[in-house]
Amino acid sequence: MPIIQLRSVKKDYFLGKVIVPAVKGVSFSIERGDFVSIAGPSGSGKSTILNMIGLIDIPTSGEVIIDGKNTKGLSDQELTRFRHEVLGFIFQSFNLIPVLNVWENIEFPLLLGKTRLPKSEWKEWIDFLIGEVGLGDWRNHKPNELSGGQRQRVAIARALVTKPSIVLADEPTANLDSATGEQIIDLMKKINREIETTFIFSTHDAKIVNIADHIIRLRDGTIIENRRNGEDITDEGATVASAEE
Amino acid sequence: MPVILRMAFRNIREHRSKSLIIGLLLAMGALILVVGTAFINASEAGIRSTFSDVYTGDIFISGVSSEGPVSLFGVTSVGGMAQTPTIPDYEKVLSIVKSTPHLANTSSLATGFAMVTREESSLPEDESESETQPQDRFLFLFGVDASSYWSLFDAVDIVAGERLQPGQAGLMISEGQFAKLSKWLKKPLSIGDTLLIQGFSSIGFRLRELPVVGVFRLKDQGASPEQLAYIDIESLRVMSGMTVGANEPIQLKPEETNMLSTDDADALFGEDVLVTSETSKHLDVNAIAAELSKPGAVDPLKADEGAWQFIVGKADSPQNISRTIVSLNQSFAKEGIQAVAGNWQTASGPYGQSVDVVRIVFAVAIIILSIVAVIIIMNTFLISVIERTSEIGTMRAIGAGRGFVRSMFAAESVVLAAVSASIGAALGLLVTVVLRAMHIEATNQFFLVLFGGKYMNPVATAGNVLMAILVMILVGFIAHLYPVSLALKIQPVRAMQEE
Repeated sequence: MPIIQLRSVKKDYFLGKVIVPAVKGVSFSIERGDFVSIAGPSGSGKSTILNMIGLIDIPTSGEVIIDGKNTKGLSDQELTRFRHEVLGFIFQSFNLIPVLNVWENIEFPLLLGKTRLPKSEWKEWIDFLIGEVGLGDWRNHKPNELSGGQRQRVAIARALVTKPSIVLADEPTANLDSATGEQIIDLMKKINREIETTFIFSTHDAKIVNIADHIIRLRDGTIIENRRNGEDITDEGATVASAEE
Repeated sequence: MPVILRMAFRNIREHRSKSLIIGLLLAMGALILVVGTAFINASEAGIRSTFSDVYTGDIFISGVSSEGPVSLFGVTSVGGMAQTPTIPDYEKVLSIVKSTPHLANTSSLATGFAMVTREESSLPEDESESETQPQDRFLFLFGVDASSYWSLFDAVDIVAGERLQPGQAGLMISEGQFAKLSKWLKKPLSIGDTLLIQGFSSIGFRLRELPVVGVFRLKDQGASPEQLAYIDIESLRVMSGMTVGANEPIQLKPEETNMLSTDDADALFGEDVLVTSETSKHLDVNAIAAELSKPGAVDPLKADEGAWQFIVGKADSPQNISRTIVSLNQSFAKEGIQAVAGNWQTASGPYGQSVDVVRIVFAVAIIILSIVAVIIIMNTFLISVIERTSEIGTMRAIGAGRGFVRSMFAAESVVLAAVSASIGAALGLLVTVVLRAMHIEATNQFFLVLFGGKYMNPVATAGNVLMAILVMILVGFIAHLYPVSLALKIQPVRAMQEE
């Protein structure tokens, strides 16, 4: 069973009284453990789709099914719990908590509620993740003492600390130079292989798109290409243009 | 340390300038509260001890007036002319008082007002009165029962002469008033000199000549006026119009006696009315003296012994004051006596209420200050919330519930308020210690009341300090409520937006 399914998902924004369609009814599936890239130019709707998969934005219509659960109509509290238990986030601007050091930033999601990780294993797991992202010597540093690449590594470790099924990364390389960006993508890919977490990242950088197993290309809120392991699956997850269009 | 507290401390440090603004306001508020309450404590304690030690005792019993509340200063009525009632059924009230436990020592009392006057013809014509003020001649008379009063109130040191003795007619005046009267009378007063006193009450004016038997100085000058004077109760009853129909020995000049003894009303208008030789034979002085010496005849010293306005007393311990007052009032009600018992504040009337006035003014000032502080702090918190929109959105995105965000801001405001208020309260404590050490003297009546005595002596208690800190924590907490309600509306999607 796919870990993520989007069915005829539309998202409209209001610009004053004008309705701006950001996502025009897309449908696709993502398999567990895949390394997925959602690609497209600015304004193509990739961040909006990522936000809806991340349950931090709600579709105007359509359904988002995650880990077999239809998320439509969930309360704010249920959505929060779902995000905490199932999802990990990596942000474009890293979004670390400025007053916490590296170790504490990584630990932070564990303190927000129940996790599948027993408390006795927290330290060992965090230390492992710090090692994985190569920040063993920086554990006591605050975010403002780190480079952009280091901050994004902290964000990757933080996203993984609750052992989520899915990690979402919104343009994780946008604020990094290309070499560092590639290192970050390589790191994500390595972790994806090692702990079999599904990674979905959005990007407009053609060079890193191709590292993904599954590439979903967007333009103007619709899917123009849906290719998994080199195989075109556009028919399976067909772009469904809205009736109005 | 829980992560919320850890983050609270670090965020306070991280946003130094905002924390400083909020902290300064809260610290200042705590400082004002500590110093202010220290002044109020001193004022209240000072006034209470001044009144209870010098005038009122712990327990005060009076008659009831329909015109208004009764105090040692009379009836506080709208027109200000109501007569102070005497205690009805005095003997019964006294027996209730004597049988009430915890009321160890009592004395009966009446009060009145008078002016010292003089025969204008006795002064040189060119003398001006501009050097003296009317209050320099004013006397606030305490008509005391000398047999019990001095053992109840050991409040005066005798500077000259002696204390009023039981049965002795006369006046004790304060050292300050003694000097002022000497100046006004243009002659050095000495013990034994008589003063012409004009008493005034709601029923009119009474003149009386009384010897000065003593000059005193109050042991605790506090807020006591110089005009306080002690007088024998019989004279006070005359001055205050309490002796209507009573037996009071009046000293008449021979010609006045002659005039009163004539039985020819027309003769009053005749030229020879005051001829002593014709009228004196009708007055048999010996017969009157014989009449007065009969057993059961009216004794001038015992006349009107029931005419007392107040009974003042001291409880055996401060803890028993309230329950004794309640017990007395229950007994009066049970016996159907129109008398009422109260505490020193009841007795001191408008003067004792000055403590409440100071307290109310201070409370209003603190409320206004708190509202201003809440608004400024709220705005500062609001800026902080806006600046941290992305951080809050991130927390929400990675699984922080609204409760966590609420707790985080509450912890920040409470920690900041507690730390700042503690510093402010400690500074306030230091200020009170310094002010006390400076031994600042009250220069006028207002400061005497404010200081509760001759010297500024603010006393901050642990309770005041704790109260100041708690009030400022509450101010900080209230101020954070609106900003946090905005923070809770921040959607997780805001985390995705560029800072």
